[in-house]
Amino acid sequence: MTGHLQRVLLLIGSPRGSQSTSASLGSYLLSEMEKQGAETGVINLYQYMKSDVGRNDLMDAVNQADILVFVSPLYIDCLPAPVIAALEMIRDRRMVAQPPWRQRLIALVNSGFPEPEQNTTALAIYKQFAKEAEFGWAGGLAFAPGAVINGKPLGDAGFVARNARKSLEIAAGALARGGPVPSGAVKLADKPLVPIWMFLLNANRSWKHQVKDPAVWKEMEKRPFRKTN
Amino acid sequence: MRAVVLDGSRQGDQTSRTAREVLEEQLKENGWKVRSLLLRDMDIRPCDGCLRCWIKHPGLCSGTDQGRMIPGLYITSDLAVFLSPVTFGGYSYQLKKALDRMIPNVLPFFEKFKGEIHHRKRYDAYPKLIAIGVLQKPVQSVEMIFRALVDRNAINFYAPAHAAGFVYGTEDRDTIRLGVRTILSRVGVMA
Repeated sequence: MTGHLQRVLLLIGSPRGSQSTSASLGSYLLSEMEKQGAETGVINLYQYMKSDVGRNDLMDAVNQADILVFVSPLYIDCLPAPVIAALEMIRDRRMVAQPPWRQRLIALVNSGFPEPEQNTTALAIYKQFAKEAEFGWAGGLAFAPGAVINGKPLGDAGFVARNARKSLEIAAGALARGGPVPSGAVKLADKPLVPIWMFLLNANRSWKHQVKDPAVWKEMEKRPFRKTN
Repeated sequence: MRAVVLDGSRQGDQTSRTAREVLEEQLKENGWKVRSLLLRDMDIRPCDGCLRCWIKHPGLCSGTDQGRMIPGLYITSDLAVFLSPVTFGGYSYQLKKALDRMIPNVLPFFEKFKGEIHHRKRYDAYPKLIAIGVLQKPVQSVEMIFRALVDRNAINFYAPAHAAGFVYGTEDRDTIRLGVRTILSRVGVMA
């Protein structure tokens, strides 16, 4: 690792916290950066944003980091609400005071859809946040579809996660050298983990396994609301 | 015809308040029934991703807060309006906490729609969608992100028509009224 020991903070923006696919992706990047000498820390945004103490601790952690790694699932084409609340708070507090050194930010988005285009707005929002909150934008990676990983450690996720692992390894190396996420890492992250036809088949079948009650399965397409005049 | 307005403004935001007032006036003048939700005053907790609205009691959120009613209000409307300060090019936390609660309105199953993979429809008909972004002054870069986000939401929410537009803190009430009217006309709500 060039320069001084870097402090890398992973900010997980998933309601499933450390059990989430977002955490799997972020933790893999962190472990790759640790191999290169980085000191790392992890914050669960959903937990920290629930209280004043948590929000203050979050800001303290942000102010001590050299590199922030945001990772979140794609919710309604952008970031989950608590992540937006965290970004609003961080931006507002940094307008009052911020560390004198240049901090950088990378964003990882974990999507349920195989097309990388579906993540474009989420990454654009993270980039705009970096600009407004005065972080250096180190780039963004969108992984699709996260359901294949389903919260497993990326190292244990087998062949289907090979491109995600390689992408994060490349990104970690570039970040350690002080550079942005290379286009090669973006291209690997963008590659579907499985072919689209297989994704559709498996994803639609998988719900049958998740719905334990046959009575519920019969009502999966129920419409509980009706328009009235 | 019913309209639901999801107001994601912050306390003290006069421009958003004016935009909501002129929006309500114009819709009511044209015979619409309007239900406005001032989201910051409501008990709406973030979606916890439990997916029970798909796999336990399909179509219904299991939350016990006011967020539970958002999907029903949305799907029984003919027009949905998102009103929000433009926040990093997207929506405010206040609006987004409500939108994240709307996944019961689609099915967990996937299909190809408009050349991409999306969740399948749960209902036959979905409301038209307009989004009004509030900015202090025009900023082209964030307006582009906002428009792209609304375009994507319109696909995932199966909106039969949609439009995005902006009102600015520098504008007076008459200018905001004209702006809102223009946005409404884009989805055929007004001539």
